[in-house]
Amino acid sequence: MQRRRGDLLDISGLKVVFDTYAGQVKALNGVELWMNHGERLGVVGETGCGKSVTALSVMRLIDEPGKIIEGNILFEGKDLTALSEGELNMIRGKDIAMIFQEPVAALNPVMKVGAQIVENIEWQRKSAAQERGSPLQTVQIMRDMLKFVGLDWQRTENLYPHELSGGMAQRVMIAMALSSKPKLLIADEPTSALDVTIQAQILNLLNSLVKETRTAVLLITHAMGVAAQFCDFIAVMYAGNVVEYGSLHAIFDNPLHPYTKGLLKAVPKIGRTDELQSIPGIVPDLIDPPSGCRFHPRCPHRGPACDKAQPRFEPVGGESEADRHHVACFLYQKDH
Amino acid sequence: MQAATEREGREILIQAKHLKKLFAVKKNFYSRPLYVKAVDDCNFSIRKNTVFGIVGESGSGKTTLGRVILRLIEATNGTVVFDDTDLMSLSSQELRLFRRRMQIISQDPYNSLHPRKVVKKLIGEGLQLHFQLSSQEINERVKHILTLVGLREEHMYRYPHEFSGGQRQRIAIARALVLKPEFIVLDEPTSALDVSVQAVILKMLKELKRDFALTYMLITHDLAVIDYMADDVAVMYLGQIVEMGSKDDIFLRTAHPYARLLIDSVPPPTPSEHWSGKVLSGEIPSPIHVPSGCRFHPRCPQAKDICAKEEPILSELQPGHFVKCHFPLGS
Repeated sequence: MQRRRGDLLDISGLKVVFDTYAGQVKALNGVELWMNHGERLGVVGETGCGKSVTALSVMRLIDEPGKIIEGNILFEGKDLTALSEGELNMIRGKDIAMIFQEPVAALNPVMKVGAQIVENIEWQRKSAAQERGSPLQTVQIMRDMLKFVGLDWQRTENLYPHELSGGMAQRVMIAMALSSKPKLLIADEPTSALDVTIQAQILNLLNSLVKETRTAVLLITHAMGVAAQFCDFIAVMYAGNVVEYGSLHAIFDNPLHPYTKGLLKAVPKIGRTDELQSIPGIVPDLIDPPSGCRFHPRCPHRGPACDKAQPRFEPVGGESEADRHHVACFLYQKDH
Repeated sequence: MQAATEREGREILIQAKHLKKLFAVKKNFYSRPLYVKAVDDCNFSIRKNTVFGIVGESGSGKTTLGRVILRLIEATNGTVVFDDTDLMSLSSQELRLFRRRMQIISQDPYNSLHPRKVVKKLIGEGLQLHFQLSSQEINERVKHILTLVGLREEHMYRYPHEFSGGQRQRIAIARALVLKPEFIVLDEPTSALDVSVQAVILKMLKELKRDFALTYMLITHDLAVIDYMADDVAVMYLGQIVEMGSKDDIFLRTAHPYARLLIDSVPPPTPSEHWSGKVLSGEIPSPIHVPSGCRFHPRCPQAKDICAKEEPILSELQPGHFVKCHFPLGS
């Protein structure tokens, strides 16, 4: 038994597959991730790299035809992959809450916003076997939560989701998610559907709320700017693997994996004068992924070993422990 | 000053004057129509062989403006002069001849290509319409253009669903380019793509512009893309241009408070750079009931009494740098 690396969440060797008519999609291929209480971890990568599947696996929301075939997800020491649905429901929405990319689609369209939040609070109470508070008390909590996320409860509680703008709907989602005082908030592309000005509002709001409540956040995003400004740690995913993991500083100032380097050079930035660099080739088909390191067909530093075996996910020597810098690449393996 | 002389040095390809587009909306059959002011009195000119960037939040009227310029939507008012010809006065037949010279590439490469036509047909259709070429010549030209955009000959007989998002956007570019246009409207050309693919497409668009002496109007909400691509920039808010000038005017000598806040709200993709995190409060108002006076005043951090009463005019601060504000920054 390996020692626990993060006291809140520790994912090790996670493999998820989806069976389709075209073949088995090997969506996650041994994901390694961990985080402590109160930390903010950003998972970045391109479409189809498995960011969202990782998030859904933590919630155990992978449904047929997908299944977790290997690996552990330790949440405060409990292995989520081994729990029953009943036990999971004690955790889902309570200790682990989630917000999504399309907030309007994630809300119930035929229920008023206030009632949805109240329903959630009552459900949390029931599942925690607490005694039911009086309805007035519950309504008061709902109103406090709406105020907490910067909405005017008198105006908002009686609205239906279609009457909300994208920014307001995301605030409602955050209110609902935080109403149960979760230990971990999973945010799957929370600002990708919003304008930059609204994105800045939501990021600022999330920032102050999670600081205040000391909630850990697992932020899934493809926007490097959002990750750079919001997170403490970054995990870079490619084709179902975490290829590099470490502190914000380690990833952005000292990227090691060729994919991370390429990704950072491809991001346009205001005031950037050099030409953009692109990564040649395209994202592989995960039904028939490349052998060995899944990045090798596109890698500029490909060596003879790269298509034979998968590189180990190993700590980078010579750096401080606090950076947690890990990389899965043969270039940095000592015995190679 | 040098920039100003250089600016005048290039010929103007497109000049838009007092462009206006209102969309009528009715609450029910009997009610009087209300008007969405999607584009409201926009004036600008695009110089030959440059990239004119248009940036703004969703609902600011950028896409409508791009379509009105091409007469894909009829303007309510105003004129567009394309190389000495007034597009608005052309009959539909005359306009068709012009279509070859101006093309559009739209945001979503998944919806902008006909799903039941093969690539050769998609690209060759325009050639047949405009040049009446023989099928052999069409074949040759399609082959040639495919290699230019980084696709191969064998892709000619495939359907759009067989391609990835980046490849489809290449097909859309090839389709526009094969007619040898002078002007292309790029409506969010890379918003649906991943960053590494975006980098490839943007670089390619830049090279094609150089090789074919193209002029682009680039519509996007991504300020970093504007900074990478554009020579001149117009910032739109609620259907109006609030600031316009060279790229440096907009990014380094920002004068409109809205443009400033828009730039500040982009999180820089490097952690070492401190993000001021200054936040623009509120949301873009309804384009039906626009605020009085300056349309930005309810959200503006430095609004004064006059801003609610009187609409500022788009005035020239420096040669070529226009701003629509009573109290422009830095003056």
